[in-house]
Amino acid sequence: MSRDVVITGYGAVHPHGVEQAAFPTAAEAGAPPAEPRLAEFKYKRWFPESSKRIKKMDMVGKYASCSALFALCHAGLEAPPEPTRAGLVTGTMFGGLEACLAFHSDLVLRGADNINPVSFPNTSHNVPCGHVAITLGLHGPVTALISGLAASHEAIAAGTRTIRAGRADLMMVGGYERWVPELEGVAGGAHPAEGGCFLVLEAEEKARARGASILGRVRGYGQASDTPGRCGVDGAGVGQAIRSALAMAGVERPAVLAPGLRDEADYDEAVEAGYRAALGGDAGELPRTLPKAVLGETYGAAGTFAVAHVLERQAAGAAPPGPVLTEGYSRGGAACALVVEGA
Amino acid sequence: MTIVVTGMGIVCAAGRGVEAFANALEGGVPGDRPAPHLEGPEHQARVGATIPDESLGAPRAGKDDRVFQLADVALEEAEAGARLTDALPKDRTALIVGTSLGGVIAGQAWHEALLKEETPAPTMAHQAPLHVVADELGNRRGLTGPRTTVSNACVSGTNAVGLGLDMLAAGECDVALVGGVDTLHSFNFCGFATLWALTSERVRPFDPSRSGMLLGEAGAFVVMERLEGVRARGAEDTILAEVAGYGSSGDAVHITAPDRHGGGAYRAITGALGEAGLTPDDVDVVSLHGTGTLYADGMEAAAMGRVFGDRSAEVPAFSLRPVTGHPLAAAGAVDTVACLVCIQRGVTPPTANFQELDPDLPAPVGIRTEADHRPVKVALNTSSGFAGSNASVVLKAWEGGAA
Repeated sequence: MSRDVVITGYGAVHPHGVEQAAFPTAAEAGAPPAEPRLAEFKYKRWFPESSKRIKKMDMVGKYASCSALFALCHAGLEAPPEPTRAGLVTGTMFGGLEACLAFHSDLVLRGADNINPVSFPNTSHNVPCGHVAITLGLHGPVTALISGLAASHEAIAAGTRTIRAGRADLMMVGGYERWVPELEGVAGGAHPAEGGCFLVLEAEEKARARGASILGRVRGYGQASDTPGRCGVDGAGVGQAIRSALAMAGVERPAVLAPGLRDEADYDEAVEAGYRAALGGDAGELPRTLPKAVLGETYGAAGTFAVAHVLERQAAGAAPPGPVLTEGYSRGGAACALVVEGA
Repeated sequence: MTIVVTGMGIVCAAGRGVEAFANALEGGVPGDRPAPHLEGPEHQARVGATIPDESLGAPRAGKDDRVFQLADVALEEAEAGARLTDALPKDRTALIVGTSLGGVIAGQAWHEALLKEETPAPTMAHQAPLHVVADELGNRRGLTGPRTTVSNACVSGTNAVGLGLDMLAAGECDVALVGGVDTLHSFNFCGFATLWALTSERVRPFDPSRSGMLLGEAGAFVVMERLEGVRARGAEDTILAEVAGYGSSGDAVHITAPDRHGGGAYRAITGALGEAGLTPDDVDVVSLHGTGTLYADGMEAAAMGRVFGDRSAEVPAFSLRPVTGHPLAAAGAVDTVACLVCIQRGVTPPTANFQELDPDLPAPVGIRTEADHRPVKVALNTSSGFAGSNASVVLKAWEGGAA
């Protein structure tokens, strides 16, 4: 079954703001957040009930749950129309790292008999994914990916694939990260930022039938990888992922590029080389918008943040209309490119 | 479109290789061993389904962390079975790895140094992310196709099969190397022990005396391809089974407790059967997740009752957890290999340590104490895990036939 996949909503939790406001605020600020963490996040506004589940939910679970809730509301839905036909794919790089470190600190410093058992469940990297399923009532296909900087790009690809394969009609796809101080100096990226960002993907015919506002569409995706030492040399993995995404989209030349440049010379050169390899030496002349220049490095959540950012820019007339090409590239070698287009 | 499995490989508590695994599966040989190296709370017996070092052989020179070694050993066997050793189409091979812990050993060493206020090299931290396993496997083989890491708790290995199926069906790759790997380490041992989820006796899934899980470690991989590709390379004789259907679902009920009505597992199983164009009556054997905890086994029994109705006790079913322990994200891949063995050997396996069926289960399940030799045409693997994830795969015996 081949079905067109449209984007009908997005939502975010980010140091620049929450709900959809994160994106215009980021564009206005014109710079990444000064601090990686949200100054405060008053999640109780959206989770007024005080259940055991909410009490045990850690920050990354809250970012995921709230950003997914915002996205679903943005799509004009209070709940999925058909829960068993609505699923979820998440992407993250650090997942439950904060809980892992807390648990491991207890183990090392206090010993196995003095561990707070509450921290262990949250060490499982898919727990925020489970919280989203519970919060929104998603009973359909669920997968959690953890592929470094390409993770939520891959989540968008996997969600699109799931709808096209006919396994679901609606897929929530998102990324989430919680910044921890231990990552300072090891995580890379000039301007780290935590948060969560979800998109609502729907089969176009279903979205139209319910009268949804169509904000954009996923036209193509492509995945590839590098063998070691390629970062900063030739961007072969990025180039191949881009070629596959463009071929699937039936697009020869995108209208806009949204590369995931992160102010690291070798990394950025590999990404640029990938764009040149796929689009030709004049790839640099295409119009650009740089998501990470205003949102910072959101790691595994960078894919959904980038797509929401470009849809906002196109809707605001700040980026030319037409197909937008973006990519996620893990330093480990995995690359995933996406071609999306605002309505 | 027909997607088939052309190779399988495994290393687990039963030893290295499919042959050792299949013998333990068929014979119901328990894999639990004393594991004094594991740290844990005092109440917890130090037992695990660990892999004897002699099964693994000497690590290669360099950064041969145990997790890489388990994954590599299993993948090498799967590639050899498919006759693809050193012959993978590098840019058309997808690599999909399920793992819960990835480079946890490196990660703990890095964090322990931080706790001691030392300054560990950043490269130690760079070995900690979960995707390092896929990167290491891909780099060793020079693969440049799609590369993905799944971390959906105990369902990851089964999710990986589903991702491979979809990538092949969509023409995104020609070969999919799909599997899971996790090691047994103080981190996971201690974590599950603090939740009182581990047994200090023998693991006995679906038995009234069951008292918790046995953790294990394993690496397991399968090679998946489109039938037309297998035929084009003249390798039809390597086909082990058809991957006929896949289903996945979220319980959306609770983070750590399963849906007691088995709703999520039911949706995953019926989704997989529906995709395969089969009915519950077609199923010859079921590989259950069978962790041996009170509620998870109850949930699976409830799902079996919903899927098979009043036939649920008649359909042969087994849990591998007494043989392999629970190898977390590798479990779905291990159980996929088990289903392939059932089809290849024509066997419905026993469940080791099992004595009698818990009469208080929501529905009876066809767990056996002895192996039964009979043709297996359709094997169903079902996995359920933390955070309410479920996934199922239907494997069908390959009998030739038109593409």
